[in-house]
Amino acid sequence: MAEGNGVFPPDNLKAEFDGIVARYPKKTAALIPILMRLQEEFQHITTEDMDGLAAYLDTTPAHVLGVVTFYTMFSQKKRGKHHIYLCKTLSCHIRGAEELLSLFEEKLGVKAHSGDASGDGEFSIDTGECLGLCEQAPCVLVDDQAIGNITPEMVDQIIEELRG
Amino acid sequence: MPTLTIDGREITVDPGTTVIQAAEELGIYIPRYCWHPGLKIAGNCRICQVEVVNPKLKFPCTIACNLMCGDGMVIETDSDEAKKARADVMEFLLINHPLDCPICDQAGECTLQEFSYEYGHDKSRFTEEKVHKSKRVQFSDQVSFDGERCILCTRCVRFCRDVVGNEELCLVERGDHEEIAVANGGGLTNPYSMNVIDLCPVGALTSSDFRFKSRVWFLEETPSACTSCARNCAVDIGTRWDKVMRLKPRENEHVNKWWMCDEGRLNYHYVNAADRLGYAYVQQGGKLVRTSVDDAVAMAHELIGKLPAEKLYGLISARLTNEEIFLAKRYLDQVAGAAGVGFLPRIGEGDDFLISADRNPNARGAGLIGVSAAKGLAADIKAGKVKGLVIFGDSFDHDEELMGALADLDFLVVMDYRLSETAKQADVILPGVTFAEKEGSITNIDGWVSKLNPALPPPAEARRNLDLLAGLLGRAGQDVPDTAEGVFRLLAETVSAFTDISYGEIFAASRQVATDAVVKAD
Repeated sequence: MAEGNGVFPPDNLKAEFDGIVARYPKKTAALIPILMRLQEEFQHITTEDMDGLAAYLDTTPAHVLGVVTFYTMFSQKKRGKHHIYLCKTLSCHIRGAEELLSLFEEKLGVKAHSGDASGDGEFSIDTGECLGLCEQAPCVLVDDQAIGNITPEMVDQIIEELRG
Repeated sequence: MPTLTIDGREITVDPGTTVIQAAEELGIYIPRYCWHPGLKIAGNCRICQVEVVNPKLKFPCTIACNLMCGDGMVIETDSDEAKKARADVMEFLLINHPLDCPICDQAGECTLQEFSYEYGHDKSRFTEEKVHKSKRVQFSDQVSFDGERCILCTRCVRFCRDVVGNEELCLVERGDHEEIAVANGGGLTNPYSMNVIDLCPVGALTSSDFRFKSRVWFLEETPSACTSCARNCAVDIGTRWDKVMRLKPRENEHVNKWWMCDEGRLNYHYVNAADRLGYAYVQQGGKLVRTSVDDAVAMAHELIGKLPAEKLYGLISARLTNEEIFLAKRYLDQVAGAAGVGFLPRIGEGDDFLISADRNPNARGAGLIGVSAAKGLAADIKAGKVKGLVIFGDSFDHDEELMGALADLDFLVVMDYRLSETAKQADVILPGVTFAEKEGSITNIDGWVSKLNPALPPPAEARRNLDLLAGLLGRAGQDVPDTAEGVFRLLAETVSAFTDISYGEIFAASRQVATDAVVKAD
């Protein structure tokens, strides 16, 4: 298990997960909402959690694995506490996304798409498809907050704010 | 009951029949990758395109595997439209395929090759870099996976999930990164896992046991039956260089459908092994000395004749064919007058699919012919009740009690295909054959009679078991046929359970017949 206690769901999430399951007519419908919570809580989804979740929802580890790998927002490697998703589609690309990416990578000491988190476990970076904020290009999604019109100067500011 | 027309021929089918099934009934073959008669419909490979003749349709082609037959439907399976649609599907399927046929083990029995030849284009318009995926992944010790060759038909996924009921394989990732994987890092563990190799229409799943040993077009395939348990799954024995190269399941609706277990599939190496008996031996001064088979038969008969019949016991293996058991029993009963005959029971773990707990392939046949499981043999030898033992086609190297009792015998005669530890104790050893070298019939646990066919000649001077048994009977002046057909007729005359079965039914057709008589014999 993510927290190593060998129980699924983990004690602190049990009531919440039971509540999610109760919302749907079929148990397996709770699969994605629960995976999202696991990703948020533990920054990754472990094999043990997939097996545990499969048993919890009366489905198979194969089904859970298929879903986890299908959606790129689920990660099997532990992400940083803050995940930075940088748009690289056309508008953002033209407006300097490439340069921003190098800056983020340099300042945080972690490569995009490596699946790794920075040494202190605080940050990880991915790039991907359009966030729908082309009018504010270039843009990033920091955790679940979208920020537009990013300039190289703002990169330090964003990181500092996140570091608190 | 819808009536439809396929390629100008009318057919009436049960409601719910798909077009591909209706075409099969008419003997019309529609190409397929993902569709398999033993699996649920997936409809993902798109190669089974047929034309639905209807002027209202702008795009008349659709896939035949999930198209339910409708009344009045008119289908063309080989029209220009259908062929064009298949060519287009082939082009998509080959976009990321590595086209590494020269080093691919599936070459020669690959439907991707066949349909590409039949329907595909001879040139690729794709000039980009192909997507690279997992290669040389061992799904288990026996199943090798190449993700780049895979066309994602999901036959393997559906087989594990729906037929075996063990959902070990799944699709991971998506789009052009999608591939087959074993769920959560484990290996393929189900006892039927190697069926995915046969199911795989391309070279993505190959057999670690067989691959790179021979090109399939050099194999000679002999229809036969598996003798690893009492199920008797229909198989094809693939041979080359006088060796068995592989066993593959053969369709048989009564016995095994399309499948077989991994244990049975891999249980052929002993046929090629170095300990095979190529010659007859006799014990002389504590040593085994080679002799001619005819001399050995004569000596065995002489030894058996010297002993008072009430001290003689015969072990007739339930691994032998109906015909061999029949002749062996006739010899022991009528000529030697043995006090008892029986077979060595072999019980393993069974399941409710194919694997039978009875690991003797022909225990049912032995029972019908009047040979039952031997009981208390070691104790009888120890007590001096049995002084002479004749073993037809068996050994008990790992049975310490029986092995220990052998020293108390006056004599031991063994007919077997290998020089077992048991055989090494014998006074006379007659060199027989394995299932791969003989013709004959075996009766499975449900009473279905299957035929074994010889795929190989007997090694060196070894002889077919029937020849050896006929030789022994001949010594006593009994003239019996030495062909499986002849002995089967004799068997059918003598044992009522087999009376209603005609030789031709089992022996000429590759399918088995319902042996009502055998089933009734219960």
